[in-house]
Amino acid sequence: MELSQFKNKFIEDSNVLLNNLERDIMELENDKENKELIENIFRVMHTLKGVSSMYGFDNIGELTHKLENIFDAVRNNEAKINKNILDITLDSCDLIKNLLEDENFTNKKNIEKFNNLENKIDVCLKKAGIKIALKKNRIKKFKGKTATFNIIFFPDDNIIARNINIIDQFRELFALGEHHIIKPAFGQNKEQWSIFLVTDKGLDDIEEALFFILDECKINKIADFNIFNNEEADKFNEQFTDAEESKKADNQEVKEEQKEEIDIAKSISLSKQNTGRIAVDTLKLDKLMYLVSELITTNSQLNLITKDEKYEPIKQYLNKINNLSNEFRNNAIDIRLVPISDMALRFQRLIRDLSAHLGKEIDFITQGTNTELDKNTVDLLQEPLMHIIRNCIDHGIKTPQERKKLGKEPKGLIKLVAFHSGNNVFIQIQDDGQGIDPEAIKQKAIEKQLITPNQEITEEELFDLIFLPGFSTAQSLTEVSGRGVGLDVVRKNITELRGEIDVKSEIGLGTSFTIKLQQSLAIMDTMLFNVDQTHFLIPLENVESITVVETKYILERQRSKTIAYNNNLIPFIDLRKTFKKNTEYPKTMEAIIVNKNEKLFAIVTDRIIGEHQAVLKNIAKEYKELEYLSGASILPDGNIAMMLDPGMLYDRIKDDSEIN
Amino acid sequence: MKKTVLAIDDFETSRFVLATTLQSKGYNVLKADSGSEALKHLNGQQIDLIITDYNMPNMNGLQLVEQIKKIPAYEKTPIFILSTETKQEVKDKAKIMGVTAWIKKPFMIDKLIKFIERII
Repeated sequence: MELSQFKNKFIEDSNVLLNNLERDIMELENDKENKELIENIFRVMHTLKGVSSMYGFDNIGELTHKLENIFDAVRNNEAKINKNILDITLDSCDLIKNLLEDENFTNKKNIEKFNNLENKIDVCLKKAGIKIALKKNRIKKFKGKTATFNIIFFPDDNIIARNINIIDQFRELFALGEHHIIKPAFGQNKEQWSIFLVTDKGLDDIEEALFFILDECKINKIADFNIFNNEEADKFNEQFTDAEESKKADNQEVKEEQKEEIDIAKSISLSKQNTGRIAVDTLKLDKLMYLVSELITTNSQLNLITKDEKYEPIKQYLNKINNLSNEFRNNAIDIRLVPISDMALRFQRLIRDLSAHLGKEIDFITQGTNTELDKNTVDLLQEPLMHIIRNCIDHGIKTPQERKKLGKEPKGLIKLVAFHSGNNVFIQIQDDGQGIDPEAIKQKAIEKQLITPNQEITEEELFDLIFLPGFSTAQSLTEVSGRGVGLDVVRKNITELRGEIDVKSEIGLGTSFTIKLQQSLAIMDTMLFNVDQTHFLIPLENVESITVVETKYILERQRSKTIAYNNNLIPFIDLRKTFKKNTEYPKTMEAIIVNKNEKLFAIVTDRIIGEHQAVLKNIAKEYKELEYLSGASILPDGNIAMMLDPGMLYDRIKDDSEIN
Repeated sequence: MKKTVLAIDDFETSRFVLATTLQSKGYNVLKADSGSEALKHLNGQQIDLIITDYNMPNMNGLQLVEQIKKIPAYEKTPIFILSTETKQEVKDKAKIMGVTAWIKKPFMIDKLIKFIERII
């Protein structure tokens, strides 16, 4: 069916409704207390309000919303019909008829009349002391249990031939409860409406209401509660977890499994401290994320193809899709976010059990556990964090007696702190144990021939050594840790999450491990650039500035490997040299000044192309050795761009350059 | 003003029940026992709704509908078909021909009245 054909039917049906309305109003004039007439008029306003939004007649929606309020008050005996109300309603009738013809609301007369009428209505409402319901669809008082249904209405040509007044049909439906209409999917030729109905009535009543258009509707019950009401959703969630718990009690499974499941249930109920949540299958989330990333990629491609002027007419829709994709992305990422409090609960258990086992007394404090991270990250962080905590308990914190001797509190302290900063999430594990002895590390390092006895090395660099494989200053191996396979694996795991970990420590006072993670894993804002026909990306957050450089200058500085920037010399990277390509340089180059943890360096490029929202994919493991490549993204034109890791790059070049 | 309903059914009892029910609800009822009889009523007078049975000899419900639709004055008149017929293809065909509603027999009187009130 052509869109216009259906819209005309809508206008036709509305006019019929309005004519009947007019008749009712005039009858009401002679019989001001007539309950039936008042109810009818209320229902018409309610229906028109609901249905006008289907075709974007927001002005009609507004008007009828206010009128609905007036007649609702009258039917509840909170106000009485008077000449003023009748006049206003009749005028509104006329105006609505005109507005139906003035689709884009451009007719000056209509605009004027609309504003006048709105004012009159507002005055009337004020005088009568009627408060406009804050929500467009007031929460109806339901008598029984409510459920949410979804009705998809896809009219076909026959509807017109069968002379059905569609608005009347919806009037019946809307009378059953609260309704929310979703505008039709744009870009489709077929009309399709999605209506959510919250009602205490059953499927039979809905089918009856939709009797004449039942074949054109798909009805589905989507919840046994009102999904638009937070309280009900929470209540439902409670029921869900209770049921789960009693089911588990019945299970004759191995004690351990049972215990763990109860732990999980406890942590679920603990996390209910936050606003109501629904348990979702992670496979579904993964699928969602995949679809979102496909959407973004396709959106980029669309943007690219439609750069030409001839696409002007659809520009607004393209922008809309663009905005929606971004919002979708943000929402999808947000859905996957879970607070780390769930993890914290497990740590609590670990600390309790382990400290008891080793005869130590340890308190565990958490801070900022409602900080949220992508679920995947949280899952992958558990192992590394547990290992760090084991280390703390095993090596860091001493027994109560030893602590007393040192003048410390007998009870040790482990603190888990989480917070946001900029685009990152930080997780810290601090303890007030004996700290890491830099001398011990130095000795061990010399022993393992990692450094020479006379080597100048900062404390920071020294501590960093503990993340090397096989490094452990533990006097003896315990079954818990100290096998020396720990911290390097921890760092590897964190790196795989595109995060960083470092350690600070002070002898006698304690140790602090800090993990820095990105907010969102898979989708990042990046700067796209070109070197010798190959595309590269760098995280946008690390881009400090861009500048033009003469190729001649770059070639001159090849030996010192530094360039001047802001009265300083900073290292630079020439990817041609890195990848050993002997191709020709362009006449001028553009340099990206990169800032990584306050360390500046430059990447010289052939051309900086611009910002790119990258859906990052992992590189095949064959290329994993190239540690400064942290992923790849498919560009709108189908090419692949490699993502550079600024930290790794800096490490690589800082030694080469003459900064030191 | 009273609304007029044209009721068609070859079975007398059915006609009687339908007519009396509608009359008790304030409708003016014209009766016909066949398609051809029904067409005789379509002489220009105001008819607000046509309710007809489907399984009738000589001219079945849909054939009747076809004839009705040919008359300009009654092209937009809503038509209900009451029938025991359940075959989807028949019902689909009816829709395409412009039948407003297909109501299964045996029907609930009050439901029928509700539907009628909704349409006229």
